Amino acid sequence: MLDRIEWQTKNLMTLPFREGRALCSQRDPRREATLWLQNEKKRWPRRLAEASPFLVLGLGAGFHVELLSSHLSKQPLHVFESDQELITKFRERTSLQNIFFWSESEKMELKASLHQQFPVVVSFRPSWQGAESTFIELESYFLGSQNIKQILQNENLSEEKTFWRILGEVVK
Amino acid sequence: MKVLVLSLLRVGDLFMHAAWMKSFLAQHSGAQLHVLMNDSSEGAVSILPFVKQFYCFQRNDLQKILVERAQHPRRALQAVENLVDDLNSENYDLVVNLTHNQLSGYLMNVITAKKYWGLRLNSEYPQAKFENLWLSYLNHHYSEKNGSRFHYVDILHRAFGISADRTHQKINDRRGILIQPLTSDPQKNWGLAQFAELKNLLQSLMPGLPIKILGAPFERTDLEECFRTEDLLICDFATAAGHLGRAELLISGDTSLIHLASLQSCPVLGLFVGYADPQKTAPWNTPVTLMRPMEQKSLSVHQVFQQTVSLLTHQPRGETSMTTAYLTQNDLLRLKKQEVSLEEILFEFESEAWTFYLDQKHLESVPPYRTTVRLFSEIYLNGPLESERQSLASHFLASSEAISAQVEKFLKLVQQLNILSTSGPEDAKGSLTEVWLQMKEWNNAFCEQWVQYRDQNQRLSRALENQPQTAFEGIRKLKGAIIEIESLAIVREKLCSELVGYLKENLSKVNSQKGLPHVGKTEVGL
Repeated sequence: MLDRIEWQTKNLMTLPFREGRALCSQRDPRREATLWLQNEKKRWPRRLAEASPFLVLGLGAGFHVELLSSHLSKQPLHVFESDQELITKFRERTSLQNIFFWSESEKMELKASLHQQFPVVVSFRPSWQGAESTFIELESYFLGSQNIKQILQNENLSEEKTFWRILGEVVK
Repeated sequence: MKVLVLSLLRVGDLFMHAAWMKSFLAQHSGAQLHVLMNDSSEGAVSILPFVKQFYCFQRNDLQKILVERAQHPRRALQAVENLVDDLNSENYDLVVNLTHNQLSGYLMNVITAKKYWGLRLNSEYPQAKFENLWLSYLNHHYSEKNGSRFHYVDILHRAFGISADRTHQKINDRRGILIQPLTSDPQKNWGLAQFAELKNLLQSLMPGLPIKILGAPFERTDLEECFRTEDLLICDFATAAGHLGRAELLISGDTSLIHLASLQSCPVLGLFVGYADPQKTAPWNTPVTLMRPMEQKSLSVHQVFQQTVSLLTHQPRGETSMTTAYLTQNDLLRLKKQEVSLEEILFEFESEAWTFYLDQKHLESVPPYRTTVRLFSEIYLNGPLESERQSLASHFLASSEAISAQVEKFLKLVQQLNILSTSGPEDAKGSLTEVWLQMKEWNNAFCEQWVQYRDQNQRLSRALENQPQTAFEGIRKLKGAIIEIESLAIVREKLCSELVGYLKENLSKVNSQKGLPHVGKTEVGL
């Protein structure tokens, strides 16, 4: 994992690259972060998200994390990034305190820590370049591998069956 | 008594359910009412002060989790489990399902209470079982494409044995007109330009009369294109309720506002455009006048203007002006109509037959046929000259006999199906197709001939849509529809013979010059 990240200056900004591929927009990463947040917000459950931690998958240059951090009022913000170097650089650049960073070596710990809390998962896909499989695996872990339709086809729902059926009606 | 009501539809439905809740409380004065509603109805909380506690079903959030995949599906499961835990900690004496859909049916199964009213579904055997025929009627006649003979709120009253509380809030100093031009569906909108023209016409006729345009915050931009900003009342439900409580008329399409107006006893001029069906969802308990054009454009501004002026100048306040086919027995007694068409008489009479049939599990509370016929005649047939009565009696008798003969033909086909169900599969296959086809033909012919009573066969039409593999399966599919047709035929025949007898007995006594029933051209009968 070491030395995979390179830094290049584009438009007066130093931006990260992994295996030669940019981990955020080279033209306007701040605008990219703003648009990303606008889109993500539409996906979040209004009330239930207030009571859940947030987990960002992918740090890249970190503009989206800064923006999200300023947007969240009280929810804990967790960020997973496969490359420690990006985390270190972000910490040097910003003074944000209330963000929990998790790197590749802490993946198991992250899973154990947040599994029961059902975090709101927000993926910043441009920063997955070159490490897609790690991020996909984590996303699938935290969002579940089955959708509601597949869950309802499972015959071993036992006591939870009626509750799943209620949820099945919600998405009809 | 602690009671939970499930009201998990749209906000307009919650307002209609509120009318039921008021009736319930009038009958159970000590009851403490809690309501489980959707998050989208939260704005209605302050309007329903008689509800002690609201619980919210976070439908939108759950959808986002499950569809947008923002969180693990188990987060949604956890949220519903938590909600049910909260509800179960209330130890309800009674849970009432006014929603009547699968979601509420399953919820009924996980909420603990001493008693349950309404649809309750078991996840292992999700076949619905109805406590009474009214709930069955609601189930079979309330899908979007089907028509209903009864108003939604009336069915809910009947289904749970609650007497309708139709007391009006008396406000004598109502002043001003409110217009709600937009509905939730463009197909139900009369048109902003038309409403703007109507407002201008009314304002020029009555310059001193306050006329305001109601709208939700998200409708502001659209409304500002046609109305002056100072004429707009952009507000939430609570504020709108206050305005409706003081207005002398609301002009609106089929929206939640007409039901809110009903709760505030504000008279309504309803423009039911498109597929909006007043038979099901007109304002339930307020003076209401309905205009229902066949097409959006066929209702002119001038017509609505004239109707509005007429309402403001001639309409006795507090009286209903609509021919309400869904009125209950007591309402019929109050409503002494002087002019009534033959079609209306027949519709009302058929509704009586349905009421008898649907009430069959509560026979003790149903007046006997003779009393019903007398009440019906006093209201609807009070006035025709002797000759009209005679022709009416013949009409009732002839059509009743004709329908009975047709029903008999249908029952013969049912008998054939029964025989096929006991014969071998090879012999039965071809014959089943033939009988099924004949049943379809019979049904089409009936619906074509007896337009007024098409609803009788709604259930049958649906059951006949797909031919089953075996005759036995066919019998099972048609069972409910067969019972309905057979029972209605019996009830109708009894009512009809009473009515004909009554009309003949009273022929010589009548010599009144009151309004005559208009005998229409349409060939309709019982």
